[in-house]
Amino acid sequence: MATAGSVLRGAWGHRAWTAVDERLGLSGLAYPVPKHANRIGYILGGITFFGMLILFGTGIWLAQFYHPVPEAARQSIAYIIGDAPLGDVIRGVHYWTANVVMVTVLLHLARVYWTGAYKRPREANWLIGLGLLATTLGLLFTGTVLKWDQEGYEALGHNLEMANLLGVFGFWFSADFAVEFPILGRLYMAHVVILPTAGTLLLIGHFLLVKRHGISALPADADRAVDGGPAPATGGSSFAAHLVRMAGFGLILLGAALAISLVLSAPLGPRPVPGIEETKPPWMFLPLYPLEDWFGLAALLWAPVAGFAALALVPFGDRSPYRSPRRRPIWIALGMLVVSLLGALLVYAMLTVPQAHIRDAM
Amino acid sequence: MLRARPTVVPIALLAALAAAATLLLSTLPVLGHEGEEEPAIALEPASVTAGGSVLVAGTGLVPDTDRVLVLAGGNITVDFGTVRTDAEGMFRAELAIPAHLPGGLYEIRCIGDETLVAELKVMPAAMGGMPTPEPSPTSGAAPSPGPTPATGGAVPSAAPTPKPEATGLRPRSTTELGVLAGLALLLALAGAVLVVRAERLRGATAG
Repeated sequence: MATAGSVLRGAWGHRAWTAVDERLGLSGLAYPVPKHANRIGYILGGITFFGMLILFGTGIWLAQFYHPVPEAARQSIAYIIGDAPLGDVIRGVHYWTANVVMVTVLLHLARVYWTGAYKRPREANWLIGLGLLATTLGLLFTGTVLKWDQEGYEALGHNLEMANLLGVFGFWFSADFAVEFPILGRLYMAHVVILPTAGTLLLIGHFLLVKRHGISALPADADRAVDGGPAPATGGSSFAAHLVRMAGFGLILLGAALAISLVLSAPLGPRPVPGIEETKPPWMFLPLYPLEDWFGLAALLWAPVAGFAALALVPFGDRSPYRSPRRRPIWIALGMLVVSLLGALLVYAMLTVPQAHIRDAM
Repeated sequence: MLRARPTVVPIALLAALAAAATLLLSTLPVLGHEGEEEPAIALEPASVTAGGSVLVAGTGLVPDTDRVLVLAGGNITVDFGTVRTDAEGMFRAELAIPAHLPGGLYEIRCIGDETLVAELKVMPAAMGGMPTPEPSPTSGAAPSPGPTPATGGAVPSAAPTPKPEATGLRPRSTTELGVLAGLALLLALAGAVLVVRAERLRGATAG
């Protein structure tokens, strides 16, 4: 199996790699990579990972200037935009990369669902992936609140309502949990410590299980094996080539985010005014917005819970050994129905005028 | 011979009684309000230096109800949270005026079924080059982030003459823009090369 050392040209590069690998055992991380794993559909997880690295790096830069107290939070962001070295660009890269990462996470989930890659023995990795989805949404939510503009303030209002809905289990989301410390500070801590730590641990588990089970075969090949045909090929490419390709997409993502941030600034809304609701949530939360209109704040809790529970049950409901979409018509139809529904809710939410939810609930 | 008594007297009497009763009934609502206080709030003192405190007292309100106290002026809002009236419809609360509040005329609003307003003059505190964090909701009826320090840490800010707040793209020279755009292009190109050539790298196809 080829390693990173084998793709480094020249004796010096090879010697350097050998010296590093001898001491760190990095080649132990490698696993067989089939050729199809370098297709865009199978590399979405890798693009997400490199996107997370970009977010980590730009986040460290932004943290040097961000002030996580209500009186100063929004002003420190205005300072980042207007005065901090490359602040507006770095913030733009952070913001646009976060949006792209959300897209790649969803596409990665859709690809795994479409190809039935959640099936035995990968059920646990599917569940870990759902954990990563929840972590990503948590990072996007807390990042929205940190802006401390009208949108962020209203998002915090919803956070506090969630605390009420959760009762004793919502203690952490409540401002009463640590009255001497602003909840904005705790959400900031969640954004920069708790969620990244949880995400890192989940990512390690995700990668280890990918290494353990290998990259899933193409559905048609896997189905042939089920019908008594040859076992799918596990090689054909190399781990190093796979990694290099991921890094390539990561650089393209970084370049694109940088280019966009030179043209479109990451938004910062007006100063928050308590008691009014005039904004809508970011697009990834927008499908929940009509549900909140129709069923009240409780929908914000129960709809995601139901969605995640349904996703978690997928590998345990779809027990057929076949993975091709045409051999799983019910599950594919269900998936397409859910995607259509979410799309319709998103469009509906974009077209409706903002409504007051928190105030009405009080 | 007895003569029938003229009916004029009782009719006049009845008319007089009816008029008196109407007059009495029409004055009842007025009499009912006599002795009741109109809802009002008062401030003591009515002018304060930023960083100081002011006492707000409410009277004539519905007993045992909650009111939200807010300071507002221009585009600044400071939420002081909720107070509860006592059995006589009164409340008293001491409000800490944030030290970073710019000088000017503000309103203290007591928000319940109706909104009562009292004017408060705020004189700027001598900041001495201290950072000037913007006023912001620190607690409140909807989100209540909890008490926070009035000022804290070195928030980079132009102290004496606030410049326009930056919320959009920063103006850049053509050179700076060119360098950044070039960097974006370079990153994207380098990425594209890696994507295209990944499979061609030496030894990469060994399984």
